[in-house]
Amino acid sequence: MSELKNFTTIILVTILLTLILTNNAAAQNTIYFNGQDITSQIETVSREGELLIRARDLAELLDADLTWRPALKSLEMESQDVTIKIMANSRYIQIENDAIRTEAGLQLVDNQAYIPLAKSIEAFGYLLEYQRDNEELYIFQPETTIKNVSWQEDGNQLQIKMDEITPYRVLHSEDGREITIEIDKAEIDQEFSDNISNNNYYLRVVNVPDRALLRLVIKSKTPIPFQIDGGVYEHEDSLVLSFLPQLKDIRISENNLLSVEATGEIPDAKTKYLSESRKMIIDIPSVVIGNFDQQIEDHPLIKDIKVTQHDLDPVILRIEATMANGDIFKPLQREKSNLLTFKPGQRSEISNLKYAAGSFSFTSSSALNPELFLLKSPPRLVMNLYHVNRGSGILDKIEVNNSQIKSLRTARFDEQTVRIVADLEELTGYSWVEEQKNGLYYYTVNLKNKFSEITTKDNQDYQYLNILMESQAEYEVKKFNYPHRIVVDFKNTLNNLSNFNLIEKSSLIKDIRSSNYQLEGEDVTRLVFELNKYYSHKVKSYQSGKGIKIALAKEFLSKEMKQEQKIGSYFIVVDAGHGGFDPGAIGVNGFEEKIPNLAIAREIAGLLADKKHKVLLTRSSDKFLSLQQRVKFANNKNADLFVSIHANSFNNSQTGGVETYYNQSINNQNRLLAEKIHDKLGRNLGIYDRGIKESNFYVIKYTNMPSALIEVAFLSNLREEKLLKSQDFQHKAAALIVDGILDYLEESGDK
Amino acid sequence: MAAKMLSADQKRKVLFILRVLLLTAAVLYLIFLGYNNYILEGKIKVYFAADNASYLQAESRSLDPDIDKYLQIFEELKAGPESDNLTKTIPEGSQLLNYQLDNKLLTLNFNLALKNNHWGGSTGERMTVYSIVNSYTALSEVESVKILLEGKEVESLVGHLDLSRPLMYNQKLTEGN
Repeated sequence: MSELKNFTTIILVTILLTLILTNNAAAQNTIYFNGQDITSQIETVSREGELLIRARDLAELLDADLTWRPALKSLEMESQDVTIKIMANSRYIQIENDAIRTEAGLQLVDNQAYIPLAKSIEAFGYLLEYQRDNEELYIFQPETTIKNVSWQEDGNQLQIKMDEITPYRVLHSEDGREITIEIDKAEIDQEFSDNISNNNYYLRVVNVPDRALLRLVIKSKTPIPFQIDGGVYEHEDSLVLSFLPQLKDIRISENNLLSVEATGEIPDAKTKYLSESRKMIIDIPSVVIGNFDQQIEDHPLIKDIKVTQHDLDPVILRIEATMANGDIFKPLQREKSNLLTFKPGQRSEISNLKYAAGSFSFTSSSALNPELFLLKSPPRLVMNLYHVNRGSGILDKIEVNNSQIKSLRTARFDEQTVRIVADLEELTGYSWVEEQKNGLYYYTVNLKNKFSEITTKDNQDYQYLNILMESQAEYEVKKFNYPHRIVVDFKNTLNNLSNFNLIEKSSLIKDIRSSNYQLEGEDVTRLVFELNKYYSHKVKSYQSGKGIKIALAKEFLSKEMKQEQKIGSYFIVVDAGHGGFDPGAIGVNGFEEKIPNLAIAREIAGLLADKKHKVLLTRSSDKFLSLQQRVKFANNKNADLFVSIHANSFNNSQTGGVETYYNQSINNQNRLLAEKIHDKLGRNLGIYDRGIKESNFYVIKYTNMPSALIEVAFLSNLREEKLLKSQDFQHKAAALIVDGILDYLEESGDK
Repeated sequence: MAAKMLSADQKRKVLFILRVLLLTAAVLYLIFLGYNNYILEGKIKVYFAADNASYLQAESRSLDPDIDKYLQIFEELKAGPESDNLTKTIPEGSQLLNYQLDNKLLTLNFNLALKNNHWGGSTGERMTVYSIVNSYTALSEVESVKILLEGKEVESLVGHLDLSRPLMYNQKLTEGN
């Protein structure tokens, strides 16, 4: 403690000296005490480059007891159990058993005692911050005390225990070998001992005198594995810095197992074998080199081993082992999280080389790390397999002659490598998969499928889309509405459509597009046929899965005409909700539900009548009808359809949207009607789609014919209340509901 | 195939182990059931509107020994949800005047404020009625709820839902279903 204090004192002196020498007029400084400007409340003078404060003012500031002994010309000041003594003609301030050297000491000016401001205040445990730019001197009481700094978690964490976490910063030197943690307004605990350096790090706590902060400086010979993102966190009253694990030990055991140990958890390593240089490369992410033991010398397996910090962003530790005789290391099952173990690899045997359209496969007795690449002339795909022998069923050459592969050849390329070459018709994309079954590893290389031909054909009844692929296609056909389109998704397929001539459009097909995208991590080539209307479609495959034939039924082209004759005339009851003394819901601005209900119901009735349907309204004016009366009206008149029009409300003005209700019925006609209506409303009304809902509402429950209740929009929502008032919106809602009703009649009209 | 090669002795052993396992599972299940019942005892569930009145979500409340459980449920409904994400469903001034439980059918008699102060709308009505119905039918002794207004049967609260018949717990309206 005293050493530290002396050290800081020296720094303080030099800094204050320069500070005051450059600004010798002390009065220019603005002095703040705990954030308050006290410049005018205190008398200061400058002597020998030091700023002195009148002792009386300081005592008042610190609420200290001041004793002046005229006989000794000595001054004593006591505040919060700290007593300082200073004598005239002495440069030293005595604090308990310690003494701080000052420049000016105690000075008498006009019979008043002046003492060095910085030193005295420091002696009482205050912190100073001098802001040179604006010549402002801040005096703070420390806000936190650093009690203890210690290593945790096997040296992977540094814990700074303090009273309270004050603002802090973590700074890195450019080479990564030094980290500084600055903690504002912090003092060091009296008991603090500075013995936290370990064999990896040198750590020091520095009091920065003219800035009210503490610095913890960590230095290391190797870059410090501070986790750049998320390396510092606050835990209760501690700041915790976590470091990446460091390499501790590399050894090779008696039974030739290579083990790599770190001070903390190691992720899985990536291994690579460079056959030319016989080098085994082991890349371990998130581990730092540190001081480690390495006891591999002149081993029969390993000629030479080198460890480097391959990269810092991201952090990768690289172990490069030059193998004595072309063996390899294979990672073993992990037993400990801080330990990686490798076993000298035996050669795998590959067998059962097989082919199919656009793919070939083989098995291996252990996992391989194949390397694949394409060569141009002649076009071929090369697969290098390391540390393998050719087993049964692996011939030098197989004539394949399918649409993509001419032949497959295998050969030993060098001592370590077996090469499989697929001679291709033309270059294409590829991918490979590994599967483990019954202790064997199955490798399949898939050449990307390609489009061979796309044609459109039509006869009297159907429009055909024929898509022919190079090999058996993995595809899915989807139908979308609004806009109507048929979409075919192909997996593992090269999009070579740009090589094709423009595909002929027909009266049914507006446009043909293609795109590539990712679906659940897989590349998908999508073919889109834009249709101008909905047609029912059928999908068939031909040429043993290579071709896809989509047939669009043409009869729907003339459907409208047919339907119009077929639909004929129906009897529809339209019910405007509420009325008379029952206003229904009341809007935010007082608009009553019964009004738009009637307006929309009337509009619907008009539009349906235009289509030659017979329509009756339950009420055509503002009058009250009970729910039972409405139901009886429709039932007694034997209506074919019942539609009730309402506007919604809830005690939350945010809630809004359109919804359609139906009551569960045996023949599901209620649901179908609601679906058909809501299909139009949900999409096109321009407000939030709350969907169709099942509910036991009175009027749709007791009516004998298919029925639905529509809640057009929310009166409790300001925007929607405004919409409900507008004729445009009322007309739009009515038109959409009528569209839905007609759709329903079309679909179930031939009952 | 492996099982066939077992000797009679081994078979007995395997069977014994299976029996022990089965017994343990049964005991654990019983403990679990008992625990659940114990935990649920002393708690009531009250439903509020969630996610823009798309469904109902329950909050649990401790039983207050100083007040009748049925009255407490309505008081809790009236007091509204604790969560900011839920919305209260009972209009101001509503009172549960009295109730009667008859063979699992609970008849709740409310004052007219439940109707007169209501904001209306199908959604509004559904949320109000089913928050009441679901909260009461969550009690094991209640199967269905009949709502009266000042002692009189009504065809509906605010013109949509059929209240002429008792209502049962609405699973579809409850969160997660």
